Amino acid sequence: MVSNNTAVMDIKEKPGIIRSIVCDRARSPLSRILSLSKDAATHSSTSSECVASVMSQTKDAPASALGVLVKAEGLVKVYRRGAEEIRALDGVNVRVQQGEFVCLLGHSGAGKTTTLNLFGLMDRPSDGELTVAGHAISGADVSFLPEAKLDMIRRENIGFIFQQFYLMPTLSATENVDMPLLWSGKSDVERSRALLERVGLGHRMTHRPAELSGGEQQRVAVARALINEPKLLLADEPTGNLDTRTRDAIFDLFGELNKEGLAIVLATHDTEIARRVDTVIHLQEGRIVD
Amino acid sequence: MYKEDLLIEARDVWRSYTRGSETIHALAGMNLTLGRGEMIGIVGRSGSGKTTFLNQVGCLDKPTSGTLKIVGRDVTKLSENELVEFRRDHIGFIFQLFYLIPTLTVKENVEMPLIFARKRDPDKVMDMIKKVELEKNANALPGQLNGGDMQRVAIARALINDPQILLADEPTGRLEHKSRDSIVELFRRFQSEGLGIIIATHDLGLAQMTDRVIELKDGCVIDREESYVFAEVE
Ligand SMILES: Nc1ncnc2c1ncn2[C@@H]1O[C@H](COP(=O)(O)OP(=O)(O)OP(=O)(O)O)[C@@H](O)[C@H]1O
Ligand SMILES: Nc1ncnc2c1ncn2[C@@H]1O[C@H](COP(=O)(O)OP(=O)(O)O)[C@@H](O)[C@H]1O
Ligand SMILES: [Mg+2]
Ligand SMILES: [Mg+2]
Repeated sequence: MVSNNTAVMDIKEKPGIIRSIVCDRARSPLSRILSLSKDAATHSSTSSECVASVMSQTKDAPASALGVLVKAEGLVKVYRRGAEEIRALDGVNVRVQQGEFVCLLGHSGAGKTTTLNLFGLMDRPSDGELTVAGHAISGADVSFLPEAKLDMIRRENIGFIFQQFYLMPTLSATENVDMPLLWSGKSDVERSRALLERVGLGHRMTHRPAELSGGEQQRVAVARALINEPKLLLADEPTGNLDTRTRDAIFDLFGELNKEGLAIVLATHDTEIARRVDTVIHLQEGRIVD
Repeated sequence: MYKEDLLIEARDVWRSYTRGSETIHALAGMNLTLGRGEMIGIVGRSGSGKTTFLNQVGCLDKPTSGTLKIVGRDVTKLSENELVEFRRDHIGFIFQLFYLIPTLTVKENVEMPLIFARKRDPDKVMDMIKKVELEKNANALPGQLNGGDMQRVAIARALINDPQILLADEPTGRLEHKSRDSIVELFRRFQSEGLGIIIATHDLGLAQMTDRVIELKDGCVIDREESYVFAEVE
């Protein structure tokens, strides 16, 4: 079902986006900007070279070729509790392009978390079309993807952060960041440390969460979300537990990461935050409103 | 009880913090022993030192003074690195907020400590998941479970490395009574295999399901006659 509350977003052709799209061949742009990977030397072109090459390649490319990370059309999510049906999302249309910074704004219960859970493949839509990082997840002719496949797509493309940080209390900051790599047997402590440096926590590597402030814990969570070199960061009320100064510092970090090419979808009820991003989607009772 | 069966021996343990010119004694002469297969409840008002004590026993923190022996080892003498290893071998932790990783499946959450210890063992993980009765949810994400089941995952994760001691800080604070009782039942099952358990809680009902309840006030154990907590309900 496609409802009439449609909000397909335009891509803003800001340099950051173009650069990221072009530089992003095999791997995510962040890894090269952070120069963390072992083969960093092969990626030594400057960003201006990058932009130039992009321009020549993408001059006439249609918008669709510019890397759509999330495409949702008529997205519906119904939760059932006994006889009760809750339409948490009721026909939502959203497009997220590579390198875009989108804010999902809405009151508690509007459907923000539900949206992020669907985009992040943590849950399945009840109806509508959803494509994430080029993989058709749901829609008319889309075959059912097993959970393991969803887990794989998520791991390869998406970073998640949450209001409650969800760090392991018994592990150091470095170990918390490294954790997602363990399953693939590619533990990389050097990279974890470099990411902690990147988020401004070079002096807190061996601290455990209880020994860190809320803002510092969220920075660890950001570093962990980046360890898999995601193209898309989904952030659910990431500054909800922080004071306004810490909130602003975390938000500045998001801004920098976005400039480096990371696409971000941030859910919040904080209009102050929403004022600072390119694209704001207002959600109300599971629908997009103007 | 044989001495070897003592899992925890805390004698006159102090933990003091200085903030500016002020010194706070979070623990002030704490004494406690825990035997193999014993389950103890620790109660006490907010700030009485429960979490601080669990942190000492769990080797997350070091006493300012006193004797603290865990499975016979004097842990006050261990270096930072030795403590990390000692903790991983002997202690399991669970908390009020379960601290499950939302993007990892139940199975992966449980497996995590084994992976850190480079002892990957999928069969062991499945056995543990069966033990906490979550085999149907092994591939689910934590967000799809109810609170009681989330705590079961956390328990499975805490125990996957076969520790002798489980430390639980307000483990059922977020659960309704039915889930709480089934968690205690699960504790009893592990207890009967020799696991020593300490539960810090504000919930007297929970504390009274353990073998022995002790009450803390100002960082040390007080007698029942001085009790705040019990006085309030009696
Ligand atoms: N890292 C720290 N620095 C300074 N003071 C601390 C620190 N940790 C604990 N304290 C102080 O030690 C005392 C005991 O705190 P603790 O957290 O152990 O209490 P608790 O019994 O667990 O309380 P609650 O029931 O609220 O969880 C409090 O006065 C607390 O403020
Ligand atoms: N797992 C669930 N089961 C039942 N109802 C749910 C579930 N998750 C969310 N809901 C309902 O869906 C609606 C949207 O919730 P949510 O996406 O969490 O909103 P937000 O994140 O904007 O606060 C609410 O009415 C909420 O109660
Ligand atoms: Mg929410
Ligand atoms: Mg406490």
